Amino acid sequence: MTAFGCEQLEFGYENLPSILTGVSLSAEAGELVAITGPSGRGKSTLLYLLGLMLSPRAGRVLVKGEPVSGLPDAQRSALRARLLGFVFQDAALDQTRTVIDNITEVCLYSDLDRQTARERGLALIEQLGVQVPAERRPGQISGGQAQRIALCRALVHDPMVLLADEPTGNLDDASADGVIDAMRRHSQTGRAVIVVTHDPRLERACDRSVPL
Amino acid sequence: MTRTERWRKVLAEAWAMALSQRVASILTLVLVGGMGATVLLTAGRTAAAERAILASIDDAGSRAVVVRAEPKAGLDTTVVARLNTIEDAEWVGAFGAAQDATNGGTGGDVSVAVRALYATDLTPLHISPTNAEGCYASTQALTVLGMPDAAGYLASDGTPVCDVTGRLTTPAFLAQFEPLVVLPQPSTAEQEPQVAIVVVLARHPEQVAAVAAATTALLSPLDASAVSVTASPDIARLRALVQGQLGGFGRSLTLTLTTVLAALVGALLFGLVMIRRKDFGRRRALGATRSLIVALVTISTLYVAVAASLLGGTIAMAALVAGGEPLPGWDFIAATLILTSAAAGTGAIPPSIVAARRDPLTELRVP
Repeated sequence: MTAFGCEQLEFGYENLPSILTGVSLSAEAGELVAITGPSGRGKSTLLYLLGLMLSPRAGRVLVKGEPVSGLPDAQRSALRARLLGFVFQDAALDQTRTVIDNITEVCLYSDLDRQTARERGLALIEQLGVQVPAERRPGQISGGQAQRIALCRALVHDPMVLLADEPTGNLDDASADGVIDAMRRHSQTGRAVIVVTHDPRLERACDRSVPL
Repeated sequence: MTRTERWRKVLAEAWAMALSQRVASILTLVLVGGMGATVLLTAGRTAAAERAILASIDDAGSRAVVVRAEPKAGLDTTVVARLNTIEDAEWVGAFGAAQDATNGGTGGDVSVAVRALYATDLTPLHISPTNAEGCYASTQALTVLGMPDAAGYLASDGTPVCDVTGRLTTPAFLAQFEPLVVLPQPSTAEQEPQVAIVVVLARHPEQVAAVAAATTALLSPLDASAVSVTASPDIARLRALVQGQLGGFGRSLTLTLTTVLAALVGALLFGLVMIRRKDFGRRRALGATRSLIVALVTISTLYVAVAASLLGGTIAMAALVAGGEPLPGWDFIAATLILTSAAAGTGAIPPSIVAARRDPLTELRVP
């Protein structure tokens, strides 16, 4: 059974024509999948659809074979918090909170307790080689460090599926390598990882690419 | 995870939000605190004035029906039980004939009237039924007698009348009998002594006329011409009028100010939500439900609002004390602080709903 994917997805904004039609995609446990293609094809939109943040006009998103895209908003939110991790195109960290507070934020939405989240978060900071004190604020760290902190936040609850939107887009080579390694390691633990990317190095690191 | 643990997380996060959004929290603090202080300094001052005026009117005995009976009226202590059956009567007390007495210890020549008191309830005079032995004198009576410690005995023509065992607090409706010294009598007295004065206190000023009529009907004197019943229905009407007009003014002023407060807090938070819409989009993307975001924004506002209300209330009270103004009652102060906090919380709900409806894709996607 497919761990995660979608069937015949169609999506468009309000009364505008559909920007995605008939998109099907699957990601097995332990697989790292890239979504590629030129700008404006709806790659990020597809990722947000897979992340249950948008409702498709037609088609469905499947988790372990079960359709979930038609669930009520509260249930989709709960699934996001429990099963999915999301890395945004920019880090989207809360500038008013510390690095560790940002990483442990997801425990507010899931059943993960704060102490466990803190311990895992500190371990991830070390694992990803982000050499910043956990009590520092996002304004005091570099863009590359911020993106890796965002990856720590996405991984802290050990999600079944990691979704990442151009995670290496704003990073230097060394930082990008760190992020690619971390996603590779996560997929090797039996989790699915789906990334939207233009970065050839990241695309090469993936098990397969799905062009749009 | 239990419901309690989840709520603990939400409360902690709302507290952290309130602390991290310093500018918004300070603005909310100033707004709510300022409005709370304004309510207390305007409507609160009106309420204090109303309270002072009503107290003055009560001093004039607006709710009291006073019966004076000459000995030939034959009115005895059984009247207390009869008058206690009046539904609108809050308190009934009967006093025996006055006996002049002086400070027996010093042999002073200034006398006060000592009256036996027959009542089933001594609490309005702040006398505990378990200690109701000996005389109780008001502060004014003790001053007249030269007995500041409320200890000693009273004598009449050299004969001891009673030991002074305590100080009584004269209620407003008995102020006309000052300087007041009473000798509480047990309710199980075998005899039925005659009484000279009966006081019936109506529950509300507007009930005075009906209570006076019922009192007259239940007295059953031997000689009706030896009894006079006095009440103050005009004063009672004046009291009701003052209470209605000043109270109504204070209520409408408070309502207006708290509505304005809710609108201002709403506008302030709407601005904050617009500034921080990306944060709310991120929260939604990470799994926050809409109701959680509404709760976070509202509770973080309530934290600040409660602190601001207390601060504003303290400042307003200090200003009133410093200016020598009358203070509103604690019930009014507490109600104002709760109302301003609740108004701020209510004002926070519409912007919190706007925050909860932030679309993650719109807010987080980089073009």
